[in-house]
Amino acid sequence: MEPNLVRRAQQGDRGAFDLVVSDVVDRLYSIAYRILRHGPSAEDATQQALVDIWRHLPSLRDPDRFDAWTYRLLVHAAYAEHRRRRRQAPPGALTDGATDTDPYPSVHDRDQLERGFARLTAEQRAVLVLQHYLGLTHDEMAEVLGIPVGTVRSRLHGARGAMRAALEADARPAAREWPA
Amino acid sequence: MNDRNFDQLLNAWLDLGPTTAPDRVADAARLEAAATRQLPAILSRWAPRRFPIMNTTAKVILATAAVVLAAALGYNYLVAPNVGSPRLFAPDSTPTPSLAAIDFTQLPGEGTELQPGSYLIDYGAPVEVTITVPDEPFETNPSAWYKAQFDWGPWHQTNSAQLGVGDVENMRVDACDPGPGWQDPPIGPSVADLVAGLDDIENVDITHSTATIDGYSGELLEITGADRPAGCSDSPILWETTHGDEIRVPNTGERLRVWVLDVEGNRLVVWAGQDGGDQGTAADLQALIDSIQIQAP
Repeated sequence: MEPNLVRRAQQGDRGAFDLVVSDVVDRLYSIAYRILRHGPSAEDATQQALVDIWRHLPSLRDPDRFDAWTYRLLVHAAYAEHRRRRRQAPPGALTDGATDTDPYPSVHDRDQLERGFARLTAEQRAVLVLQHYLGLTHDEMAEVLGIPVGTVRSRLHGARGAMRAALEADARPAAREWPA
Repeated sequence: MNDRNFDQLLNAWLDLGPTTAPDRVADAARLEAAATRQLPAILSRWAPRRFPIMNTTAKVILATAAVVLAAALGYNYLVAPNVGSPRLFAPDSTPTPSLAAIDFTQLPGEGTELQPGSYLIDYGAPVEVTITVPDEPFETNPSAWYKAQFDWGPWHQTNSAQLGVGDVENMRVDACDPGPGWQDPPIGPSVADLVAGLDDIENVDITHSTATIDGYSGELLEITGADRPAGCSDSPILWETTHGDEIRVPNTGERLRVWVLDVEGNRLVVWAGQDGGDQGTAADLQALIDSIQIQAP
């Protein structure tokens, strides 16, 4: 993101903010979708994050840190959306299901991964996405999430363990579904 | 499957899915932003906070979940209709009257900086709680750029200490496994209901005593952090707050104190924890607890 554009938006330049939105909306939506596994929820979380970016831009001290800062806002919007949907939706209604557009991972693995992911907390989902989709380091994740590095490692450990267990459960009866 | 293959599989799986947002997302955000004014930097809850550079003494204080403090700030700066209109809520030595309910779940964030003064914590129940941030810098952090940070995120998102005020929405059927979901019917509304529910959680060490805050009595539960029980992918969940956050068993070496109070028939839960810091941090936390004033309906 161009720092000058961010600075202009910080000063209330709505035209600059429109350009900022154009630049970040796809990336934020991609992350939100991967945390929430549900298109409409991802749209709502992304929209909320974008509005939050506008509201809170004056607090951003270093425009060079804009990307990490937006991830933080997005993750918290995703948490809120996750809670909201969990209260409203019946079990099993919170994922779009696996897509069939790619032969790898296998359909079977995707199903198992979806099942395992659905059982994770929102916080565990976020660390998996930040590491395996965005490729952030533990330190970067700690900054984005506003949590200690040790907590990042702890969440990752739990999340990876749950996902691995889901993959290895192929010979056992289907696990109980948790509504996201 | 070895770690490398597992990582590759996770990477590939997460790469699947959409990478382009529908146009309506950006359009709606621009429209909403156009009707929304920006928050002054000093009031924003999203000022950077970087854990790696904070040592123990700099990791100040405080914390939590007094959500409606945020709602009150939100009402002033997010909802109040006219720029420049008088603030509807301000820290003051005299607690302010009750405010209209704000849907704080629509507010982002995990904390807000507090200036010295008294704050009304309207957490959506008839009981009103005020808390006072002292005039002088807290003992542990005389030079920090914030004095107290109210944070309504889950326990693990806090800094070195946190203080929460509110009530319990419900508890998990299994604190370790989200699969079975929430208790149905939900946990009852009395002090005894909650205490019994917490006692029923397996592998959690809880000690009991009687205690009062601002003259209202109840039970003080002290929960000592322990190694994660076998089969738990994360720390066991104690309860979900009325604003949707999960309060978990603290990690090893940490301690969580939970006051479950009866305020003229209304249950009020105050929780305070510390995940490090020093005696000064504990003193600062205790100062905030001691400042709590409770107003029955």
